Amino acid sequence: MHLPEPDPARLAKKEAAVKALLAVLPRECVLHSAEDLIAYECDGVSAYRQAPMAVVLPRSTDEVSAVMKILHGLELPVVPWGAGTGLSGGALPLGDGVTVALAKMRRILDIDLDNGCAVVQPGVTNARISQAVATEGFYYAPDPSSQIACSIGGNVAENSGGVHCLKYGVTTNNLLGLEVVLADGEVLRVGGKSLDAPGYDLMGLLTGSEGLLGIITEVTVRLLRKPETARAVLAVFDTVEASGQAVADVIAAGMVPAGMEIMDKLAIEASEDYAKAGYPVGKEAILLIEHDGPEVEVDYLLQRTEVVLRAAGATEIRVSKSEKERLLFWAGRKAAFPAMGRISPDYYCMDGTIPRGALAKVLGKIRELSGSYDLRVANVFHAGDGNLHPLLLYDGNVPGELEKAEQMGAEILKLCVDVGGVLTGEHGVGIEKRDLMTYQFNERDLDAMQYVKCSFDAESLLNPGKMFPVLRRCAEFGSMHIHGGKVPFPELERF
Amino acid sequence: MDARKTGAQIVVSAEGATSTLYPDNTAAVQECVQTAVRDGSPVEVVGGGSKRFYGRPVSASRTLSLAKLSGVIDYQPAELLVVVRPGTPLAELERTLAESKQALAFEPPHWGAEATVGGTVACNLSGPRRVRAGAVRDHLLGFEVVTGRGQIVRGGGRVVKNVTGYDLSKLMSGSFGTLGVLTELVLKVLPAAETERTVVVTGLDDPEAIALLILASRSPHNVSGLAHLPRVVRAPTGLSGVAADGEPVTLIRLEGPAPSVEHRAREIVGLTARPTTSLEAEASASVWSALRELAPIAVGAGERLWRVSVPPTASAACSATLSTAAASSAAGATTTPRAFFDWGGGLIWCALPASLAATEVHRVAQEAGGHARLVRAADAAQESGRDEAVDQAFAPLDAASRTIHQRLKLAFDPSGVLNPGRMYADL
Ligand SMILES: Cc1cc2nc3c(=O)[nH]c(=O)nc-3n(C[C@H](O)[C@H](O)[C@H](O)COP(=O)(O)OP(=O)(O)OC[C@H]3O[C@@H](n4cnc5c(N)ncnc54)[C@H](O)[C@@H]3O)c2cc1C
Repeated sequence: MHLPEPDPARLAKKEAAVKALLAVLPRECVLHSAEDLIAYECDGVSAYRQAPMAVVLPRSTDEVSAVMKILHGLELPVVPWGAGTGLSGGALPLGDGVTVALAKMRRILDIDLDNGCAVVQPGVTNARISQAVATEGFYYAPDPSSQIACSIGGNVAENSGGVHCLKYGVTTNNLLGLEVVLADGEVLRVGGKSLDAPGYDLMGLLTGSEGLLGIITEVTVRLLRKPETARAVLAVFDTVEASGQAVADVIAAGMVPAGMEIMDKLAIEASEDYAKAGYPVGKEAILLIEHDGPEVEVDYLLQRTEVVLRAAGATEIRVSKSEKERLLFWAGRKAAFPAMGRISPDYYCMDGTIPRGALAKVLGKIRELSGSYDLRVANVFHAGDGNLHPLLLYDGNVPGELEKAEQMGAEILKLCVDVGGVLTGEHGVGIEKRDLMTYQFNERDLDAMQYVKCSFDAESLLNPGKMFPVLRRCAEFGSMHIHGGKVPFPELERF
Repeated sequence: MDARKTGAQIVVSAEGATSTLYPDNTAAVQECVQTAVRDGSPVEVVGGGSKRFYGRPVSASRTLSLAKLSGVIDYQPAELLVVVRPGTPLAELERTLAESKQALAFEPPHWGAEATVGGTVACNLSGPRRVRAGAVRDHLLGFEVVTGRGQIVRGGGRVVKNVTGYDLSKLMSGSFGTLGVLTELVLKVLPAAETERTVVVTGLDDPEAIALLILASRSPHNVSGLAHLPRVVRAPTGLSGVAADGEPVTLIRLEGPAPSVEHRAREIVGLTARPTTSLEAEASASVWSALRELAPIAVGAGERLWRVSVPPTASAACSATLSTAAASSAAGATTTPRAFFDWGGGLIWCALPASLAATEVHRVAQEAGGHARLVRAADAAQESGRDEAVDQAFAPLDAASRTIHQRLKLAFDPSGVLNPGRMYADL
């Protein structure tokens, strides 16, 4: 991956920028010395690194707004930073830009259970929201595996998912309102505590916008009541394909479990070694299914699920008998990524989504690619919604291995698109999949996305270099200036 | 435009001053839009026309009807998705899904037999189950659209989990055809509930009822419908057996496998000290469909129908405030303001006299932490001209939001040929 060359004209503004920022923020909130910046060199994609010009840590919406006004005035690009756990290089700094980190905005502002919501600042971790309302029996449904570390602002920016999003939806389905600071420092509020808002669905646009449209400074999340009970099934299969077919069968039987996850042989082995969840090492695939709800419902669904799984050829079926056992079933799955560290110096996590029906075909191809690239692949996936996470194992110290992994990853993602799927299901485009966007979208499709970008950030100061392979100048789309609140209707642009 | 263009299959039918174009494929839609741009002559985009009254009227000399761009393109029950053309009648799609025991989880109101899928998406119109299953926007996975620039754009995809680029499906849902003409829709579908039951509680006043609905929505019992019909509202016929005439009725719906519904209904009954009755399966379904179709409120002459979306805790007071304001605006009025609550109180449907200014309704809704939208203008006023309230059918936007709306409109429809003024005067 080619990182952009810092622009000397921008670098020359560092001193002025730091001075201006120190005028609105205390010393500890403006980092600019080389050693202070190290912690912000990379997000979850550690293969790409670059130190930012400076890092600012505003403590309130007003401070974010003041910071953005300064940087807008200086025409310096801004990269928002939540907790830096992103897996697409979305928060990768720009050498000639300023990283705005939201870590100091971590207050839970309001918990309103009667209206089923909480209002939180962007730096609050995903898990903390659920913890804050746990004693009352509530939780925030989207549960990315990184939930103890990742920030809710980052979740909104990436529209993150989790293992339970099959039934409860991803981030965008669990939000009521947002406050964002726009590139020029203006504050925009959308939604609130009601179920919809006037006008276009700007909240929907901002969710998953990867820090390119605005800095999220407040989030109103929907809270759900915890189900009375939850139980998990662990089913063992002789082939990954058979486990995939079992997933389709469960859905065909009219059930939408809370979660359905598949792990292949290598993933089972690695997780077991790490998490000791009692996984059947040596088997080709396991399928984890969770049902939640009232006990009678869970019992009923489990019975039906067992019948389906048996018919689909499961060689062993374990049903959790206690909460402890259920958590153990999940412990292995949740540890799948970190466990890779045990069996490989580095891994590269892919994130394409495919129609469930294409699973067998795609897995077969991934196997072929693994052979031809001579890289091992462990497969973990959110099988219920077709979101694959092939983990390509490589050694960054061996020259050329990273490039090989990148190349193979790109082939897998193209394959996902070829079978009717998409490049990314939950990790985002970032810098990593940016150049593949043209494989999924044609020029006009991408133009439409850029209309959105230009409507929010015409100068492209927010997270430039991410998501779009080529960012066209907004002027190319014709005049979009609003004069005194009135829209001129200019001649139609000819292109 | 030619009276009949066989090549692009655009049938034109002229009635009086306005002509209607009926394209039956995407290229033909594109041609219609390009012609509109070239001629500088805006079009009103309609599906079946069932929700034409909803929002602001469009002044256009031509109507672009999607009625002939109809039909299911691809339905894959195992993938939980269906790909349809916008002019597909909603009823037809629902029948198709029902054959595979599936449904649109957002339970769209029809508001007429002509309702189409495209119109439903354009209005982001969701029914009672929205509280649990989400709105239309949560189920639109992808689309094809002809923008106001006359370009064919695809967004989203055919899979549930997708974060590749901006989520344009959200932008399209609820944009009332002001940004583009939807030509294909990919919708998420879900298994239909095995059965349902509605717990009915009678005699509660608004605050008591909303308190019960909040209690139920806070419970772990996965309620999928939470409504309250005060005394002033007509109860749908399905309720005649369980509630006395004119009695307030509070309804709580449970759906799922029979043993689970049974269990949860019992728990819900336990939340109130009042006597309860229940409606089973079809009886329950018919009451919710009556609510969805707004059967409880017949809008009379000189009245407007509003929908007010608020946080549930604010709804009883908001409704009361509107009712008081209505009464004082129309001294000696012959109509009583009437309202009923859906979405656990989160949505108030109300008939208010035309004497109550639209600005006032918006102000009250906003103070309650939500927003109002005019659903149907007053008939009487329409006869004598235009109801002034339609100009403010949608809640006013603040400056920051308005600027972004205007830029989006300019970007997608720079010459303003698609449904100009449908949502706001300048969009
Ligand atoms: C071990 C591991 C497991 C993971 N599991 C999952 C999973 O199950 N599901 C899943 O979806 N993801 C998963 N992820 C990915 C990652 O955790 C999510 O994308 C998460 O939402 C990122 O949050 P963050 O706070 O770390 O954001 P960052 O990485 O800091 O930033 C991510 C992007 O959001 C932008 N951003 C951050 N905060 C803001 C803000 N306040 N305003 C505007 N833009 C902002 C950044 O510019 C960047 O583009 C996993 C990551 C790891 C390391």
